[in-house]
This record gives sequence, C-alpha cells and structure tokens, in this order.
Amino acid sequence: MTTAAPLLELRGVRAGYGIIDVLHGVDLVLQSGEVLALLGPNGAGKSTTLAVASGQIEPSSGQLLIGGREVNGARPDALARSGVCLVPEGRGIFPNLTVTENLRMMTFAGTSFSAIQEKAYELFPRLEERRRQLAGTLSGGEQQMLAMARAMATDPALLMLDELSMGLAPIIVDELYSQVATLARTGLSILIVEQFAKTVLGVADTAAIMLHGRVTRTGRPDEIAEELTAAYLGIESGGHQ
Amino acid sequence: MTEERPGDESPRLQEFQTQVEDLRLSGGRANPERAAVRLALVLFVVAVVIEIVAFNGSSSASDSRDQTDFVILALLGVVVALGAVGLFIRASLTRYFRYWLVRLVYEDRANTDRLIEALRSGREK
Repeated sequence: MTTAAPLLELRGVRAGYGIIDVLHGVDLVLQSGEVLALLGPNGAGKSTTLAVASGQIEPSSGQLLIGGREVNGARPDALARSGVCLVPEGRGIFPNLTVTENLRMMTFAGTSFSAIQEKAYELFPRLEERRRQLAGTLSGGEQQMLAMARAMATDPALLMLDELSMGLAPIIVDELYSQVATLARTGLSILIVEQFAKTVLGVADTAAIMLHGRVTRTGRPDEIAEELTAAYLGIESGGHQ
Repeated sequence: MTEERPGDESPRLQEFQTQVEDLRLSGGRANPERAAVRLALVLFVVAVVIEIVAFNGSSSASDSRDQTDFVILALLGVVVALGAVGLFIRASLTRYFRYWLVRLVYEDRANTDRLIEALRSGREK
C-alpha cells in the first residue's frame, strides 16, 4: 500500500456478543507487509478481535480502519472479497467434502479453479496426494494446511490466522509456521492469534499481549517473550502501552 | 522482517486499497433484520392510527365527498398495513433461515465428525 496508513488498525474498539462486552477498548496496528502476533490466554478476546477485523462483529464503539478507511459496518463477505481473509479457529473447512471440492469452494472470488489448485498444491504439495480424500479424514496438520491453502487461493492482502497451532504436534506447527514465514517474505500482511508463543514469535515482526479484552503491551517479539509468562499469570509487568 | 516490505508498492495492495475504498458500509447497522422488524411494527401502528382517524372522520362527515376523502385515507392505511406485514414477514424469514442454515451446517459437521470417528474406530478393529 502506498499510503502511510496502517493496513489494519483498531482504535478503541469495544465489541462483544449481545449485551456482553468482550473487547474493552482494543488498540491494535498492523502495518503493511508486517506479521503481528496477538498473544494472550484463553478468553482474552483474541478471536473476538479477529471477528471484528473480519467484519463478523461490528464494534459497539471505536473504529476499525483498513488502509486508513473506517470500515465499521462493512459486510464480512465484502471484506473477504476485497482481500481480508480469516482462517478461523477449528480450520473452517468442509469435512464432508474432498480436498479438491474444498478448494473449488474458493472460486467464489472469481479466481479460476486451476489457478487455485496450482497455488494450493505449490504451497502444500501433500494436499495434492490427498486431493480425493474427505477433508474430515485428514490429519489435523493437513486440515490446517487445507485451510491455509483455501485462504491463500483468494490472493488475500491481509491474512488472519486464529490458533494455527491448536491441537497439532510441534513438528507440524513448525512446518506450518515455516510456510507462514515464506508467505510473510512475499509481503503479505499477517495477523496471527495464538495462545502459545514460542513458534509464532520466531515469525512475527511485532507482538502484542492481550488480557481481559485489552491490548496491554505491544513490542518486539524478544521484548514480549520476556513479559509473556508474567502477563499470563496476571502479574503486572509495568510496561503498558 | 519489518525493514523489507516487498508488498508496500505491490499492485495487489493497490487493488486492495481501491476495493476497500469502494466498500459499501451499512452505516453502523449491525442487524438490518432487527431494524426492519422494528420499522414494520412502527408502520403497523401508523396504519392503525390512519384507520382510526379515517373511521372517525368518515363517521362524523355528512357530505359523501368528505367521506370519499376518508375512504381514500383508509385505503392508504390498508396499503401501509400490508407493507408493514410484508416487511415483517421478510425480515422474520431472513432471520429464521439464517439461523436454520447455521444449524444445518453445524449438524452436518457434527454428523460428519461422528461418521469419520466411526470409520476410524472400524479400521482400528
């Protein structure tokens, strides 16, 4: 993006489900071409932040800005078509469809099926071997690969990954994050939400800690790594944003 | 990684910026169906008021030409009431079918998971 505006920015965002507020004034900035890791314990509001950023939940107050434009109230499908792509927690694939059929579902954005397949199999060659297999019968890691391949098939400008490592063996997590690093080198802006930080901090340019619906600390990954344990245990680190 | 940003000037990001600029926003309405249901209820109340006014007016008017005016007003009330009912049904059905679709997807997933689990346990035996 040629503008100086961040690719994604949340300013004082409050949001929740019905009358229950989960986010209590979230401030978050993702620059173009940057990888931002949003870390925090279960229930901190990380996934809700992604739901707001992808348009699924509209903030009750505050601003959601993409490329400098306030997009509060934009429909999630419109955001997805323009290039804001979320890989949700639990992968969001169709378990009763084959790998090929799952990829075919991504033609909604107008990209040809052959181009989608080519891109997906180039990124994750293992999926080509499994192309006729039901997605639900894939291993957890392969399902996550399929979810990422589906996301990348739409040529996103902003990729958001929710709990990429959830339920996966460390070796698979490393493999997935090496792909994330490859994508990051192409200039793709990535927002990653994770509970467990070790691998993601190796990929991220910036990291943020989220607690009780607020971003309490933003900084370089090495700085954040030192404060993370204290933050998870609820000990004040003193370095608030 | 922050020093190098190969994507900063990329055509894809410029295209993204253009698409974001062109996004239509709902103007802060998180739930258009709820707003439509409320509007329908308000319209229905307005229709009832129009009918009452028309009834009172026509019954107190002695001239048939004045009564004709109130009949026209009453017809307008009927049109408003029909519009309100249509809007209410449309918004209610949209809400219901959205819920139904989500439920269907959820149950379908749960069924698939059970099938896969059964297939796996069958293979192990």
